[in-house]
Amino acid sequence: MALFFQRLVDGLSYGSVYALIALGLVIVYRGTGHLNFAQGEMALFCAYFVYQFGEWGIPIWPAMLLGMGVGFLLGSATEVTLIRPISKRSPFAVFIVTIGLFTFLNWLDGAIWGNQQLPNSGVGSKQLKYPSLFPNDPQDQWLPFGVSIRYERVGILVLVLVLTGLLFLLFNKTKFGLSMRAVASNSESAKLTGIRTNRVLMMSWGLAAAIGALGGVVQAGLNGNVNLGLMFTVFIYGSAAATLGGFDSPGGAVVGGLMIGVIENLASGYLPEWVGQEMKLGVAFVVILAVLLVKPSGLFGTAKVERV
Amino acid sequence: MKSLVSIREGGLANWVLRLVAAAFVIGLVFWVPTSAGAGLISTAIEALTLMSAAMALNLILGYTGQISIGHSAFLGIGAYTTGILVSRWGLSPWVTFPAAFVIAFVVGVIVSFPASRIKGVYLALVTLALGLVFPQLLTWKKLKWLTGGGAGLPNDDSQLQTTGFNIGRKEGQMCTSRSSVGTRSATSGDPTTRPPSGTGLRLVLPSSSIWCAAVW
Repeated sequence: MALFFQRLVDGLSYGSVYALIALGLVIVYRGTGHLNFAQGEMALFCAYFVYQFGEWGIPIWPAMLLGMGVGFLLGSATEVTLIRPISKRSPFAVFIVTIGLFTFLNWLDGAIWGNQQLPNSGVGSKQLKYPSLFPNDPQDQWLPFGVSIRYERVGILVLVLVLTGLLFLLFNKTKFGLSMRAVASNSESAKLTGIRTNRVLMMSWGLAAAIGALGGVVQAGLNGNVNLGLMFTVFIYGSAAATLGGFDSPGGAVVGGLMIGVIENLASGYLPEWVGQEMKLGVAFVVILAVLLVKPSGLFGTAKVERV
Repeated sequence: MKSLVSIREGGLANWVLRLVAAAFVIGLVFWVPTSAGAGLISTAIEALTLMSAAMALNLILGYTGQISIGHSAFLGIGAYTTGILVSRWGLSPWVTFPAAFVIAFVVGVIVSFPASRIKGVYLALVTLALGLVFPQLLTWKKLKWLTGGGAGLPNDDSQLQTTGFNIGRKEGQMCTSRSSVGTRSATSGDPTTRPPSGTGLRLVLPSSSIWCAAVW
């Protein structure tokens, strides 16, 4: 039983990162109907920046906030310069652009910071490991009933839940949230009522990238280092989470993320022969496929009715 | 604006141009493997491999409007079919090409059933996931007896050197130098871990055409 809870707790903390990536995907999708394939790579770019801030001696919390700021700028600049001019043409064009951005950002990371994992004493990093937002030395844990509950993991989970709460308030209690929802439900009508849809979309992309940036920093912190391949699989888990929760439901993204984390961790723990560490990604793949085939709107999403 | 030179389609000038172009291509095909340097040959092989992948994608995206980002999985299936047949059953690589063709074809048909039910960008997502899962599948414990796991298959391409062009060896080199097209190599940089024969990569086209057919 202790083992079960251990896996549950671990799964929830992995799931927190997926939830953050999924939140970013959902915010963009609600606003524009596009799936941002570069979400993971944007997060990685910011995670590299946070490493750089750490090298300059900035403590992790302010560095994280700066990193989210970089994410916000990156996301809104992407919307204004790349997505907006082509989104009127075809959704395929946007798709190609986000794929291109995926490749480009990954190349850019490599061009700036190199191919090796960072921090790395070989390239003169001052930091010994990627800074974590919460204490994560070996002794930083509670041990109730033989379950190891690490401060870091609980901290991440709480952070994600707090962020979800703030987003809920933003969406439902502020004027900006109202205009975001208006643009999401019908951007033409929103424009007619005087909402500046362009600005709303720009802010949505910025917000999505900033949340993703937090996800990148948390993931790099859990991993202990940042490298070029860090976000590939996390992006897949994040999209599995968004698919499971429903692509237009922020709450669903968080629940979906936590569920994916728990499912993959339980599956790999209890089926070490069949799933183990290697086929965790296969679990996410099966979840995506199953949800899309059985209930494409996800658990909390609204089924889309198209007028023909 | 009137153009300076106008060539009527099907006219004499048009045919002459076509023949010149065809002769140029055929000449190039003979010249590159026989006379060019090793660097150019491997570049050409890489280009041809990418061409076959591009043709497959053209069929899928251009003719059916379906997005497949995970096409590397099909390339990998072709490569591994050839690799397994050569290294485990000792077949001649030439015999394995049609086999790779058929197997990729069959897998393409199977994939087409769910793919035809998933729309647009979601399909892109599924195929992206497929492209990332495939290398994991190759190194999966349960399939180690077949794929050789993380160590891959031995890279014995000596049998391909039966033609004067020595294509086989170059193909083999190509495959060791290109990890990303075949399997997005989950494995390390050691040449032996790569799928042994890049030639198998050529053979994925039908899988995509049948995918189209099933969609229609």
